[in-house]
Amino acid sequence: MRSFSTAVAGFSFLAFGYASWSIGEHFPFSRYDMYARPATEGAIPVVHANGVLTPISSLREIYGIDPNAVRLPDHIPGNMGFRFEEIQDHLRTHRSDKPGPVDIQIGYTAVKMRDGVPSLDQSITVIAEGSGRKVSP
Amino acid sequence: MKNGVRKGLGLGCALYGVVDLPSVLWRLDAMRPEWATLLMFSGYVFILVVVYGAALVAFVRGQRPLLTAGVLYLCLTQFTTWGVATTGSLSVTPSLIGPMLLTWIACHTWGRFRRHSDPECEALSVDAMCGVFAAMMVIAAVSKFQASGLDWANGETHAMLIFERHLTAPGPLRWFRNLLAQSPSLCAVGAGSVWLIEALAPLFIWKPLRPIYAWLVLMMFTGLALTLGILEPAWIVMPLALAYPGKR
Repeated sequence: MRSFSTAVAGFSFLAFGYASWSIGEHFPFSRYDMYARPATEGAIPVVHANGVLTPISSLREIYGIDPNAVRLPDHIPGNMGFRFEEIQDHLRTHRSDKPGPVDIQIGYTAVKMRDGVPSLDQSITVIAEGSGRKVSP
Repeated sequence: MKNGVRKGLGLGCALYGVVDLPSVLWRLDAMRPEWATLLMFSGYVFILVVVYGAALVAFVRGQRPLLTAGVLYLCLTQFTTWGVATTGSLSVTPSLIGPMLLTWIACHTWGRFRRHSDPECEALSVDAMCGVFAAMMVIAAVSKFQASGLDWANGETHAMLIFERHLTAPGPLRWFRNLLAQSPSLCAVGAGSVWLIEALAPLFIWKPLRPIYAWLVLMMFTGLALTLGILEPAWIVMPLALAYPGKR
């Protein structure tokens, strides 16, 4: 009985493995290459509210920022594309048609390797600006 | 009756519905065919989401599980097709749940065709899903090697990845990630461990070794969550459900 169990698992291992590797990225198959090509330089999204680093989740009623504009320029390497998508989703759900009391800047900053360890570049490259309201996260 | 696996699949489908699906739905306007009005298309999407939710509840409760699994799979296929078209990539959760659900359906259909009992069908599907899960993990290991060679485990690269994710982490986690990022050699050991655990996935084929491997996977994803913020509960729950499918 146990050998039958192993045979079934072994067969599905080989069959799915072969099919998935051969077919590639067509649902339900995949080559599962998420995180297989990490960028060796990093640009990370940064959100400032009145010049202070702020989590996007604490901003509401956001005015004047096009969610589609909030993305890393093509020529800038980075692993945080998913974070830009989270920011875009937040902007879509917390839009306002009136300016708010807090100045918002969304941009990115670079992580650089110095002496083999990573450190943060303090400068921010702004890609979108607007305003909104700040709440406790 | 073994139902831990069904609950595991249900949890994966629910997580997809709550975590990934909303970001796909936000972008759906780009997917609307020219002949469909916004109202028509929104109605279609709404019905699909309701059907998905209803099928999910029925599947977990064991109400006509084969039929509801089929409905779930069809909905999942539609959602992931939209997701790939609008975001350019397949989410991590459906890349696990999709093949698992399909394997479950195939085994139960085959079992019914051969007039096997429900527990026999369930046992067959558990074994087959274990093989599929093992294949996924091995493919992930091979993909890393194919894409980046041995450099994939480079400590500096992983130190940078961890450092990137420390900025938005809550208090203690932020401190921990920052500390870890200052030690690229430790990061290289962590990356090597992930690679090794993925490569050891064929252990999951043998029944007595499944619990050991499921716990290795649990440790791996817990580590990934703490260091890189990669939260993939379905990838933890599914191997545990397969390793401990419950009593007949």
